[in-house]
Amino acid sequence: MLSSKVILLIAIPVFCALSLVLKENFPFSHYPMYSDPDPVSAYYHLEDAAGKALPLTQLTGVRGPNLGKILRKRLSDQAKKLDVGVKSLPREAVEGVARDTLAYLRTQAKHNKQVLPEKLRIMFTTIQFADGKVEEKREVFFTE
Amino acid sequence: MKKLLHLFWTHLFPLPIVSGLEGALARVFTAGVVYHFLPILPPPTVQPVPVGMAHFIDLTWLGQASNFEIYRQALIALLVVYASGLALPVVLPVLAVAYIALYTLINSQGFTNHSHHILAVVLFSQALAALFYLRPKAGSWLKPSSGLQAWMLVAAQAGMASAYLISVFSKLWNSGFTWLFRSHYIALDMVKTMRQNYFSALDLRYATEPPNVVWMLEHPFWTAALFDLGFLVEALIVLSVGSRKLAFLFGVGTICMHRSINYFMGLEFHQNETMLAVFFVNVPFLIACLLGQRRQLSPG
Repeated sequence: MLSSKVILLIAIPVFCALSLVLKENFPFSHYPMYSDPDPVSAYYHLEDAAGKALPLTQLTGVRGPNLGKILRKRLSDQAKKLDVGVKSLPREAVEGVARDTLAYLRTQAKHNKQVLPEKLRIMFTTIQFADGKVEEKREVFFTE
Repeated sequence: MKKLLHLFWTHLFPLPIVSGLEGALARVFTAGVVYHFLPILPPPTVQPVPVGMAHFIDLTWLGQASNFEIYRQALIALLVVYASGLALPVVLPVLAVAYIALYTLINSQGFTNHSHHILAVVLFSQALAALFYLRPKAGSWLKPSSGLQAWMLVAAQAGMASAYLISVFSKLWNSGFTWLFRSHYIALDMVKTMRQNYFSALDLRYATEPPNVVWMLEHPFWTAALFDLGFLVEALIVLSVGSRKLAFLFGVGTICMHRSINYFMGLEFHQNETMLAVFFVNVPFLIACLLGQRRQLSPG
């Protein structure tokens, strides 16, 4: 019979290795959150056509941080498909991803018995520290 | 040095003695936490970006309201049996798979919600322990032996500690081994998280800047030292597996780390904190001690 020491010395590295290889395949995860601190941070949010911010979770059930996760994952998948870097993705590919994401959000809103405005836009904001201040720069990522 | 290594090896991963009361309390607390965080509303009826078992099985049927209600009741029934300790080698694997299936669908929406991983890891690790312990001489199937209870504690600790260790590896790998020197930039992620929380529900509590963020960015050395302390706790918690005293210290330390992240970033780690309280701080053990129920059972 193997001792608890030996079993755990095998099981823990195996579980860690599997998780690092399988990445985000529930219940496995490589927990990438905050793993690459950068001088520039960024996030996305949703607005209507008039520029009024929309409460994403109340409308779609999707939490604020997850909008960025969805977009980053889809952009990265699209980049892999086209064999280019995410930053080199052609504009039409980025727009395709944004359109698909909004379609998904509309499905989720329907599932939540909510309705999203007819025209939406996704905003992209970068955050950095300069001259003793936290600066946020906002731009339109995609508009319908 | 040789003596030190010998001492380290001797005290590494001991199998603790777990009384019947401690084992029962740990199961009741775990079942209670899993139940508390079970979704009330059905998950989505689509799996646009399948993960895990959703690669092989269509789980979308779980999103249908009527199916979900039956599934939820079945999960609750399994939790009750798990808490009772009956037939764990059968009940635990079924419960773990059922729980994982539900959250696999929830995580197959193109983004990962990491809140539930720790509960899945605990159930999965304990299920492996129960299956591993499935031996003819290990005692009755109906009642968990002291050995199985000890293994369920250690398996849960090992699974949770592994999750923290994986996060350490990711931090090192994804940052090109510079995480410890650049961790002060997490202060910017604190602002990002606050904004994302704000735009979730336009909640004005999150419309401000996180406390001390400018100070943190102006004092990168001290800020990095603070974040690196959390890194150290995550990296070393694995050494406390099986040890009552070390597990208590690391459990309290890791809960403090989660609480401080909650204070600065508004991120919540209720599942992690409760599981740390059960399996590392060892609340069930402390209650059992208080009640004088720490029987000297040999783990057999």
